[in-house]
Amino acid sequence: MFSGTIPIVSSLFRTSIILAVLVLLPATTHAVTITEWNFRGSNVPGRWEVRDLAPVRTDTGLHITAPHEGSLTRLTDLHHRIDDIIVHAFATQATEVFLLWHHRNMPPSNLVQLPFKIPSSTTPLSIELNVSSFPEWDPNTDRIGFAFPQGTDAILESMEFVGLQWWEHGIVAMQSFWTFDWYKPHSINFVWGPLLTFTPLSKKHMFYQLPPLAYSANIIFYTLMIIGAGAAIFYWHAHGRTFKARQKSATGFLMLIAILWIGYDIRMGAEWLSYVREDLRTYLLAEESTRTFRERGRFYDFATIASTYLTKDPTYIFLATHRWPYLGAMRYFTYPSIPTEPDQAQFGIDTWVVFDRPDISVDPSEHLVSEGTVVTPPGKVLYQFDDHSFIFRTR
Amino acid sequence: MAMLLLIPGIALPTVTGWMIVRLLEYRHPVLISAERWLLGFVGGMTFTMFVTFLLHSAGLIGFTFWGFLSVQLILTGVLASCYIKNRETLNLQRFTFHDHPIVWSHATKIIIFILTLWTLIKIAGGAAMLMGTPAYQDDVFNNWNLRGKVFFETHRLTLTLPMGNETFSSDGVSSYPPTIPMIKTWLALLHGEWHEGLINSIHILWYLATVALVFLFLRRSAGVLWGLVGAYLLTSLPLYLIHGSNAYADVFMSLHILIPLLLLYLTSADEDPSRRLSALKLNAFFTGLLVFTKNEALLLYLPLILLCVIVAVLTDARQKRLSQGHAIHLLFYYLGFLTLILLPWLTFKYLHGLPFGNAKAISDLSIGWQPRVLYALWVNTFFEGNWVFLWPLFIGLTLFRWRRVLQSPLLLLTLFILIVIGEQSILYLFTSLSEEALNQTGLARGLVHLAPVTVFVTTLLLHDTWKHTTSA
Repeated sequence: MFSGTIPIVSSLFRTSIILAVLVLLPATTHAVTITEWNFRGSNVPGRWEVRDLAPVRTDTGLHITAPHEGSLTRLTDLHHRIDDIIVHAFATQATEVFLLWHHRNMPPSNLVQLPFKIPSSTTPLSIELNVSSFPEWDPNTDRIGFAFPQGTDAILESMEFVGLQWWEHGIVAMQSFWTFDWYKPHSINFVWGPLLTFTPLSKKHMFYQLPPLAYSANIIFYTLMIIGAGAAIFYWHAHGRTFKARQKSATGFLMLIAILWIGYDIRMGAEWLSYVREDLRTYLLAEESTRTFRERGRFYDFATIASTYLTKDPTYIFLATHRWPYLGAMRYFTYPSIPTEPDQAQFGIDTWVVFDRPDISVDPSEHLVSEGTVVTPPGKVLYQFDDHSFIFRTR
Repeated sequence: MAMLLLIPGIALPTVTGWMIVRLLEYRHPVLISAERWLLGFVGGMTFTMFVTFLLHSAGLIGFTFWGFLSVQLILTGVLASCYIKNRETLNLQRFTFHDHPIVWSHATKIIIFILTLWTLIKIAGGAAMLMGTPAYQDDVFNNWNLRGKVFFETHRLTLTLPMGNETFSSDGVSSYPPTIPMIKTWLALLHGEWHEGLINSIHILWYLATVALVFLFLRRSAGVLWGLVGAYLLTSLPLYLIHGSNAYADVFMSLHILIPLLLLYLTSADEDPSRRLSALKLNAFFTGLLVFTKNEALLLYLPLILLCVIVAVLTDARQKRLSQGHAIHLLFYYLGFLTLILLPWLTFKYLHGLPFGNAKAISDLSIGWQPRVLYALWVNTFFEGNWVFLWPLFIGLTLFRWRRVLQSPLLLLTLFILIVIGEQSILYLFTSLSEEALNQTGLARGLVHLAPVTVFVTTLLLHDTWKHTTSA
């Protein structure tokens, strides 16, 4: 049945090792070209075109106040392409501004806008703009800048432009192939699989976006299969369609499929084991008093402890950051005690279970207050889980 | 220690299932011992829960420890007496087959060892997550485990679930057959309290049973090495492993689809008419059980499996491989098992106003072309990490070996897979179920159901291609 298998398996083994070494070679370091435009002190780089703004040079950067909507642009004179942009800025209040650029295929007056937020802070923060993921991006743009809405009060400290060579894109793509997602509620429905991105920022952000702004690496596997099938057919024809040629070409192609399958399994299996490792590290092997579980933090330990306080309550009012998944999960863990919503307090429900709500607390006169408004008659805290999670019962 | 209760939890149902399987085979066994125990475990668990459901619905027992145990004792007792009565016949007959002798090279052994170890590590990790972490996914705490806990607390088949906010739901997830929640209830009753690890542990057994059945049935068809290939292909499917490691019902569903199809394959591939009849009797039993697994089974899978059986029986009868008497004999088996399971369950649904459909009533679906669904199907199936290359490989091999598929016992299985995919695609493309495809919430579930049988067919096609291209 498996005549001829054994030498082929040996060859498969050797080829797999070579391929694995090539694919697994960790490209840990690579040089990228970075140009920084520094706005601190008197160092405003280049010649900027200012519209309806009055920017002021300060030691911390360019202070921009916008009594009206305005913009700040300049011609780029970089000697490299722009693949990623990092802006260092801060504002008195979180402000949505726009990165502007000119795409060279468009009329000079047309600028593309990409909204982003400058966070509220007193010190500069790094804002990473994953521009390459947008089809409208022009890595060799000749004009770049910002548009600020009316009322902006922000300080622009510096900008970094990151450019990569073609081979550096290849290295990033290889790294993104081996970058794993983490276990999420949607993992029961689908897993993204290996993805390809070509810049450091798009790699860093790919699993934070839904769907990821990245290419499926499956395309490479399919391409290799098609090339393999073509090569097998060519070999068979070129060698006079003999039995031996058929045997060799078919065996070669099936071996290619086997290697690709095993390679894919190693990639996905490693991602699976990264889920397991994370659960072991943060939950299964962690201290019970500090352990967390995926994006739900300390919820499960809170729910387990809360259920012991609720055995005599047929219903209780439950407050968490979001209705889903917490209400359903809480119902399961505390059943037969059922969670309900605050408006049900009018029916005499006296127990309030609060999970991770910094806006809800107990005031000195022992009322439950939500953002300063009293919501219950006086009562007492039955159990304090952490600063923002507790069980409260009215008198 | 609580986890050890899984053994007594499955013991009596498995013995029950084993005896049902053996008695159905009767004079003409078609299974080897390991296959029979696996089928006994799967069929026994589902059938025992079905009988418990029947007696409970008739008001004869509660969902208490003694309620569950009495059903299991009665079933075991009745079947054991049948077995003992016929033990001379049953003990005389054995089914055996011999593996093709094969000499494995050192490199082959190393590859098998590495891949087996790798696979076991992945499954062990999944088992640790399944049994050691709390309910995380929506259907775990809003459906399967919740209903089990409600039965456990109320000692009855409660259909009205509290939703919070003073509202209650009596349709939705309650319309699903209660098999899985009842098994969880039974395990919790055995322990005396609700224990997440114990009540979830049954899911990993279903996953392992699926892998083992794929291996065993491939081994008998193509040899040990191809059995290992099939088992490896199945365990390397990322989404299938995720489902095997979660307290969801889709691996359980896939197992209940796989078994009748494997038996149908066995029927078509076996030249002995008596053994074919035995396999079809077993098929009748497992096809009946399909009703009591998930709602999809009733609407999507049962009619199609019955259609495949009809085609197989008619073809056999036409080719004189099955006598008219045998065909009538079989008809009674199918009618018997279907009536036994389908009728009570449908009556129960009707009496309690439980909708049909996948937790959404079919009558609520609007009809019309749904844009963007085709793209979602394309991406989910071919450009995500769910299935490695199972689907392109299956489609490619089916096209490449289409003549062989048409002429072989694989035809019915291949048609089954293609028709189900077609049915599901039509549902998503032309009804408001499209939401499930666009959000990718339900899209891959249907493929999870088909994964084991697709791996089985794909591996046999690979084996066939290998043989065809490397043999003179």
